[in-house]
Amino acid sequence: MGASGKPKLTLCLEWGFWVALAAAGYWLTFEFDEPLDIYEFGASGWPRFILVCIVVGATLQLVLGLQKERRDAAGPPVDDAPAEPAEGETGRAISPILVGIFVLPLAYLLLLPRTGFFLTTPFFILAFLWVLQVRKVRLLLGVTATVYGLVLLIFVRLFYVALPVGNWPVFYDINNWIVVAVRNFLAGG
Amino acid sequence: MEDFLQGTLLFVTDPTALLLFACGLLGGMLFGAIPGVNMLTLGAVILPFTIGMEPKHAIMLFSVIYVSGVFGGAITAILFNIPGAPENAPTCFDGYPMTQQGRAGKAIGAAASCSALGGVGSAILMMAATPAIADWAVHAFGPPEVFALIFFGLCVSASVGARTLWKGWLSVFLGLLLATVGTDPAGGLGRFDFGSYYLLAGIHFIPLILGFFAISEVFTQAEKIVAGTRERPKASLEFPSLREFWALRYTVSRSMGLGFFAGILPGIGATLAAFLGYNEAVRWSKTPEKFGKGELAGVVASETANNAATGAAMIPLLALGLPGGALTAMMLGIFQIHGMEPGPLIFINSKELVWITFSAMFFANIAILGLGWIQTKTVVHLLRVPFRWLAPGILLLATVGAFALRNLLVDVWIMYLAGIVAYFLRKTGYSAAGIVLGLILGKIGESMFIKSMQIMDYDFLGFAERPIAAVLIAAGFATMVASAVRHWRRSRNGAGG
Repeated sequence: MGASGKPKLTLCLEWGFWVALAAAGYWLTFEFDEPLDIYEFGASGWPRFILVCIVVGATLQLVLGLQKERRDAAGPPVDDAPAEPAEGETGRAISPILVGIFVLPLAYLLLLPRTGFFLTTPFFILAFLWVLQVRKVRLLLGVTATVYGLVLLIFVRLFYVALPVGNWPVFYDINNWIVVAVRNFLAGG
Repeated sequence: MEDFLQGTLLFVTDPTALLLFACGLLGGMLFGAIPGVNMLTLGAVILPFTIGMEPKHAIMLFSVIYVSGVFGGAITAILFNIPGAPENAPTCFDGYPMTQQGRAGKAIGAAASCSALGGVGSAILMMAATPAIADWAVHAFGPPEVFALIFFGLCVSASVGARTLWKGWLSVFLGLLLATVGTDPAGGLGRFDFGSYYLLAGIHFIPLILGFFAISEVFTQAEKIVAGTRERPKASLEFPSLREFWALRYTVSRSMGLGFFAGILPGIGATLAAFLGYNEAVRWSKTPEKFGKGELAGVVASETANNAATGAAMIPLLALGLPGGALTAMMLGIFQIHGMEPGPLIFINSKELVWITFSAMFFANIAILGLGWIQTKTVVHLLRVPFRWLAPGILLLATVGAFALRNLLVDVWIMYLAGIVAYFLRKTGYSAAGIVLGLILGKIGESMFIKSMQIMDYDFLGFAERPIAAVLIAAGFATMVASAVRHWRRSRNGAGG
């Protein structure tokens, strides 16, 4: 395979992804493949056309990409676009910290409907700052308090956005207490 | 001219009008800049209070909010890669890279100046030719023509922003596929909803835009912080020079024309205007490879076009009573609340209302220039705050913005998943812009295609029998072929060394 092995593998993987997506999508269209009186092509006509376009586009990308790979392998090395380092790429394997950056917001989202926005958010801010290597206690607390305070002021007091208050009994009560306290405090009551 | 001067006189001598003008200007700009709570939120909140206002004040207030709201989203798009509204999404493509290069002041200055320029030009056209243009646009543009315009827009956008032509097209197709999630426009059947009640309403484009731009940017920057490779952008206060503006005169006039044209068409509006303006700027540029990497023309094109669409959107509303978007629909509601009916007679029966509104829109666009200058000197200082302190705030702002849209956590999930997907798409060269435009135009495109088929009795050749549709579809195919040839040539030259 040599040097061209990686781009070839990437091309094949991308093709596989698109074709698998199209195949799964096409299979799902049978769930709403019912004839419509007012429209000849039915509800599945438009999505199926797009899915076919995806397969055609992905296949053309693969075939032309492989042809280019072959030409490049035969000729002198060229400045090939796919080989350029991607934005933010460091050339290292994904570090546990990076995994943390992805996982932390997802964990926060999982907790939101259960423990509520008002209790979970300060811990999320603290944890995210920690992952971003902020270590000074004063900074951690200061930034958390500022961001949390601004969010409460803008969205809870000014715009009255109904943010999740959780569904676990104790958390639900505490969240509601915070909402009332914030609105009373910021209203000067 | 006489009518305009009369309207201006009425406007500047009316303290209530001036107060509402100032509130609308600042409110629109503020709401436009905060993701999730856009100018529509502000419009919806104040709509009930318009009952107590005079109709001329209420319509004027909404038109000023419209003008300043479209501009407001550019600031966060440039500074943090968070478009305040979908029409500011193309501003991110070059505005944010300019910030990273320490040219944020220049980008904001250009956005303010060109928003003002586009808006003023559009307001002048609106004043000069509202009845005639509205009549032409509404009669000449039926569903086949709108579908053809969308087809053309997608063909152009597929050739912009992605690393290769095929990646561009696949990005657009992915966007179109995402737009099919939810209820189908013909028979009301649920598609790809996985039995979820929430997905029946479809995937809203705002969480997706927040995910693609804001969340993925936080991930990318966080990765750089962790790796120790991030450089803090310089907070420059430099305003673009007159010479730079003069060099972009063709971009400005082209975007103004495109924005005005897109604004007149119901349902198309400022979002497509901004994308079309940006795409055409890339297409006509002698250095298209510079776009997406901090090209001033990218910011100029997008911001000129989206503000040019605001004046144009008033044309079908006032002359024919046809709202082109959600905010103009609210304005129609105001007319109805006050027992009025917009249409050709409004220019005779409510002349004062029409000309106060036109004058206020004109001056709102000029005020943007001044406010933009102030923002260039003030807001840019936010860049001095270390990104690791801002990152949790950006994530929370996006989270609340996505949630506040429909009070659904599923929108927040979609936003974060889109952010993770976009993080990897950026590394593999696919285009976030293509996906977003595919999603935005997919729904209206399918709906127009269905209506076209019904009108033309399922005869595809019907498009060829309608001159405007035929020209737009031919232009779309020509763009496709031209991009393919360009791609093929580049590929051959590359192979040849």
